[in-house]
Amino acid sequence: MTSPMQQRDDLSALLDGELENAELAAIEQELESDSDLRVELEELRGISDGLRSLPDATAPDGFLAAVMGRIEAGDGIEEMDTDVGRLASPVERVVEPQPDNVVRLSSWWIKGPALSAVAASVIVGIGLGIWDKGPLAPPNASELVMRAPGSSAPPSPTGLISPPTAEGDAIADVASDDEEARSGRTAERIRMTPGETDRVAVGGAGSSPAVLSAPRRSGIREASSSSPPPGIVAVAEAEYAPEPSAEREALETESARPLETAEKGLLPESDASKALGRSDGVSPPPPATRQAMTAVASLRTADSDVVVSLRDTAMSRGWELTFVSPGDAAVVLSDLLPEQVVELLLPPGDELAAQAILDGLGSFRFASSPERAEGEHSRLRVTVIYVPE
Amino acid sequence: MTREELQDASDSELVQAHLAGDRRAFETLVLRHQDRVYRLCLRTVYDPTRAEEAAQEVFVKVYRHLAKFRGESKFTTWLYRVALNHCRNVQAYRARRHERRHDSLDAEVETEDGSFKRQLPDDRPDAEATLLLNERLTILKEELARLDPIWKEILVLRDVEGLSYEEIGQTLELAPGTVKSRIHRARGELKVRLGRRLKGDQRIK
Repeated sequence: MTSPMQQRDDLSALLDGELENAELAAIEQELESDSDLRVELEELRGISDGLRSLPDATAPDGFLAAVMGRIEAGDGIEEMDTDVGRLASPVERVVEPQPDNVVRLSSWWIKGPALSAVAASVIVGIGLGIWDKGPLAPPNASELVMRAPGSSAPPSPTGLISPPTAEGDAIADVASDDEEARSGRTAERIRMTPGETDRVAVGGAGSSPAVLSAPRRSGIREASSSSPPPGIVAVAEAEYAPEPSAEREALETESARPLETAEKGLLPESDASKALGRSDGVSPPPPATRQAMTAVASLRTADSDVVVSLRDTAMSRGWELTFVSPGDAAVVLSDLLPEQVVELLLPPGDELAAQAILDGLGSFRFASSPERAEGEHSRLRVTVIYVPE
Repeated sequence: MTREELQDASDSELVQAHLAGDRRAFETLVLRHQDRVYRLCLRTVYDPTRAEEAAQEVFVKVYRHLAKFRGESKFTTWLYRVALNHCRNVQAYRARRHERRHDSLDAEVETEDGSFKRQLPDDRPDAEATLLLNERLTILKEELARLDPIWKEILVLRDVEGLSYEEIGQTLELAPGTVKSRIHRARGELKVRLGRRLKGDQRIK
């Protein structure tokens, strides 16, 4: 006897003419007596007919020439398939955190000396953030600020950013690809000059009008701001067009350099608080087209060896989170979505700063896994899990 | 091979000719199958530009790996696998960068009015949704593209490409019973999405 589940499976097979005679007879008998089943059959027919009625797309003109051109050019398509011709694993899904690895950061990381012990002067923003022109309160330690996207000012407590106090350039070396980041190489170098715009988008997601992006070209874009906080050397901004091949192209256009080498070109301490800002002249895409980003920003302050590497895999919608600690790193994350991953790459001894930055975040929890194998740095991988109120 | 011979040759013969160094044989394969590969990419990655790039990349991969095609299955089956794999990777790549939310039936739905528990449609008829279906191909394409790949791929193979259950089973390496149940489930998933979307559109109006 056919189970109800099999019966319903047979409905689709009936539509597709894929039933054996006996199955066909059985389902037809059921259909005669079951009006709901008949309705469901019609719904499925509607779905199937709708799909079949989609326009019969054909490859664009010049397709063959484009293919052959790429072949002749030795197209650098990475072998994402390890076994061409066999089915790969399904697309990876968002991994749900396991209860036993969801811990508050503060419970993992030992609390220690005040943040001022760390002389870092870095702000790394990945995510969604807008700094408005004008003075804001000085940063406070371990402060969490949430604000709606597009709002001009965060609610109290504020104290994110102070106006610039100096002029100058800043350089951030930003890796725009996971593999590149892991191998410690950078994808693009961005140079930021002061005072050309009045807003800066920290990070690449959301609706910030200051985020620059060239369509069909992915990678890191230049950040712009005339009002960075004091002590900021560089602000990395990442905007990715979701085009794998384009991104690879971006990676290839800039010769990959070892991160340490790149960092040597950063500014001296006297420039540490210089303003940033330069537009590359590319109009930002409409907010509606802006989505998420994944980026690794590796910055070095002028007066510290701190390197903060951030990897944000979140899709930004809704709220922003900003973690601020004076004189240290300010980490702007964004989004309402349940999970994003942040990697902080810090020299030994600076973990305490990271702890302070990430501690006390109210409605967020962290799944963290410390690693010490990243050269001279220690790596903290933090999974930020949003817990709605 | 002459031009006529190339046109008349089977896929397997073209593969052999290509492996023997006949460039035109590969070009013939591309011309013969470019539409189906592009269509598959379009329906899975949605964006036409990305689909075109993905389809090109599929053939670049085919070119590089054609020697791996042993002729144990139809060339089109092998080609579909390469294309599906590549499109999966493209989507996974995007997902890593966009952290695309994978809707769970248990997850709350975010709307302009706040978050709500998803109202799962029951099995009762949703005549309105069905009625509107054919008039809203854009919605259909969008919702198809948003399906989990496990459902999307099989629907594309079946309802867009018109593969038989047997061919789908070979392509996706699924047992016949699994093909049948998965196709039904995939249509159900799409029906849920369409019903929700169309109801939302009605409410807005």
